[in-house]
Amino acid sequence: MIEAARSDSKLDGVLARDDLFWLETAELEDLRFALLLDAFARVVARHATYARYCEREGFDAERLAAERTLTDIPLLPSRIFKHGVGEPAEGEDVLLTTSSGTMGGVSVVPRDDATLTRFYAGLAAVVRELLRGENANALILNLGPSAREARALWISYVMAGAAVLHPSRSYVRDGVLDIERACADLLATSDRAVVVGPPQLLLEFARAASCAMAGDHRRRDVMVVSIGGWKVRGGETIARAAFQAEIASSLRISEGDIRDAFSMVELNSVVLECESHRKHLPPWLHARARDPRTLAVLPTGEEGILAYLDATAASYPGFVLSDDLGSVEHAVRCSCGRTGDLLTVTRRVKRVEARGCALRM
Amino acid sequence: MAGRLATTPSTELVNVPKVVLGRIVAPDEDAIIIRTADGLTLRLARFTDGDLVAIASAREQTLSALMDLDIQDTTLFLAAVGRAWLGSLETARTGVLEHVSRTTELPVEMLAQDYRAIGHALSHRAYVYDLFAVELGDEWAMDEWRRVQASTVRAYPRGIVVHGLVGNTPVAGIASIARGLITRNMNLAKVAARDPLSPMFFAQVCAQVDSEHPLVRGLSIGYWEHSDPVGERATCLGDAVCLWGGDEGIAAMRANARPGAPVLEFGPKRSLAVIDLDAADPEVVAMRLATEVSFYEQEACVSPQRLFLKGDYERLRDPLRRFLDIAAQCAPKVTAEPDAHAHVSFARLEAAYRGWPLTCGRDWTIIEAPDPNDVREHPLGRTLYIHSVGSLDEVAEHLDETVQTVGVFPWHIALPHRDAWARRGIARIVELGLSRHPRKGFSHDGLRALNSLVRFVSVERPIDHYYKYLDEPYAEGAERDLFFHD
Repeated sequence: MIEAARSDSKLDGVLARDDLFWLETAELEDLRFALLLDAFARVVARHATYARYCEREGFDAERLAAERTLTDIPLLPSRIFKHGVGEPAEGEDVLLTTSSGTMGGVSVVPRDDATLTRFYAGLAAVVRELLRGENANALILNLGPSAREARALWISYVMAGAAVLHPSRSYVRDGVLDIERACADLLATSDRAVVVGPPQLLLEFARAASCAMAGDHRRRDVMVVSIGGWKVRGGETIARAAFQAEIASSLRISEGDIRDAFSMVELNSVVLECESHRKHLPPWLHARARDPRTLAVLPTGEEGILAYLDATAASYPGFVLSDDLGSVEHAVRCSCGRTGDLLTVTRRVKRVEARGCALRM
Repeated sequence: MAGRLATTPSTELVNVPKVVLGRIVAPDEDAIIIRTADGLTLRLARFTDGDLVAIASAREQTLSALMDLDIQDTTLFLAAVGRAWLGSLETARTGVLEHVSRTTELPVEMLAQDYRAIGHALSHRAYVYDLFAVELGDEWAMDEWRRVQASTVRAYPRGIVVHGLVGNTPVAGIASIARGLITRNMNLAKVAARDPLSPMFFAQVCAQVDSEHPLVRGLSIGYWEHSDPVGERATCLGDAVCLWGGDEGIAAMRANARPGAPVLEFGPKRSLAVIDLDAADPEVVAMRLATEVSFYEQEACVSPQRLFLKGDYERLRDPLRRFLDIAAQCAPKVTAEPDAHAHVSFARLEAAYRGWPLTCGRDWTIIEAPDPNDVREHPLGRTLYIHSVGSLDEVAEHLDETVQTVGVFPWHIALPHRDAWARRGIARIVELGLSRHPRKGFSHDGLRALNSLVRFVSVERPIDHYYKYLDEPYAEGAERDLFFHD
């Protein structure tokens, strides 16, 4: 227990640092490895099924420590969480967070206090770094439900999570977006406003706000953060470039102030874009693209299935092979000045049903 | 060759025409571009409202000519098409089949088998007579007024049959159109992006045989995107609609069907195998099972996804691995789609996590899952879940109306179980290995499809024909009771 507590305090200490995105590559890699080594040991100690899995795979903390091969940590496919495997043991005090179920079946991920606390700490670290300072008097306009109404739906929970860091208002009640109230609040605030929401709702908001601001030439300090699906009804994908151009023009802001954020219910972290529109992986999160056929780790920049190792998940193994295709550029110096791994999420893996007349069961 | 399919295998761009009332129309500047995962570009002629207007305008005259045909005319024509199709296969193997392989992501060897089956089925005129006898009740159902109790009945074409095709099994698309042709309907087929070439190739062969034949003049084939409103209007033209594929595609087209138009749905379904290894030769079982698991990359509704096995799996393990390897050598997996591979990788990883015994070849996967209920998703792609059962009585509880075909071996094990399984909702029981080769008299997804593609017209006898229910004429008063009178 003392060992575990020490590990936890190391992670918590890291989450509080303010130089996380400015470390040199070697230091960053050492830190990431140390955090994930601790996380792996903790998860194996706590989750018997995962421990047996590792045993069958011949993998343990000693081997990880000796070989330093993070990519050998056994992964769980994210679909496991749709099959009831992520549900907690009896008596465990957890929040059962869920996916939206748009990919067929709802994922259920149990989160205890420690996991949620670290999620918020990680979110705070990411936000203060990439959204220019936590101390700014920012008003968060959340185009989603409040945390109370969002209940367990993870993506709404993430959006509402910003409320912990800043004054915040939510504009979705009973599933309906109150766009007029959101526009009125934007016009009324003299502070910085950060508008958070899924791309489709952000577009609707920006169009309404553009009309509301007609004749008002004041320059506003507005930042827009998109999170969630890029598809609209009918399956059409919103083109990112057109989205940015329309949001920037409607709200009269620079495209650098429009950022996309990524999370998924099986991930206990948020990955946010910098001003150069690149998604920087925080030090507690490791990601690699895997060959879809062999699951071998792909070289930098090559597209494959994205696999994550998240050191902040405690109540479930945060070592997950996702349903997403994308790429990871390793140890890149971004044009924003930061150095690290850059994540690109391309799209979800298509459902098998799209391929023929076979019913997949 | 304007308006013809390009057949040079090295061609990276394939122009795909449309067929409007038998006329082959090349793509123009408004063509739809589709790129396959491995870089082949398809340039498809866009189906337009103008095409639909032409089809609707020609309906009366074309149907009149179609109704003048008899079963001899239609079968002689289709047999000629079948022979021409088979004759063109050598060319096709070095041309169209290569391209179809790239769009469907199925091996050329599999497609060649499918194409040969299509040619043979069309060439045998007797098949149509057999089909009419089973599905319409009489070989002459469309040619003569046949006495049926106190009536005479003759079947007529419904009018225009609209087909929503899938691309995972070329034979299914051609079979759908052929059903419309033998019932002397006009046909409008929407091809799948995954296989626009097979139905077009069929139309070309038909036109080569006789471009003025009424069956050809009633045939239209094209492609439109899901969001194109022309799709809604095309489906609306259908006097009957045949839909193939997955839930979403079927639901989208079904919603546009005209009230009163029968909608025949084929898919989505799943299939499985049941084997009593204590009464079977493992080598025979392995060969048949490996072929069925490998064919169509399991993306067809007839492909078995699970095996319920009675007997010692150890006896089957090595033969099954060997025959799956042989199938992979004969017809290696060719898909370049990361998604197809990803689903198999997910399934393998889940099996490893759960501790289910896992055996993998380069192209195939066997997972021994003790409890069938623990398997919630199937990745397809030559993956077989094996569930050991102590008694075949245990199989029924895992069947429902989503199951199409149960492939059994040896065949006789079906007999004591067929009632229990049928009551659970399945559509077919076949001998393992024959799921792709339906025997005469089979039912398709629970239907007799031709029945919905014709109108049965009856001419009923007058009241003075007693038939079997009267021994003497209606009494004068009783007859008057049938009518209003003063």
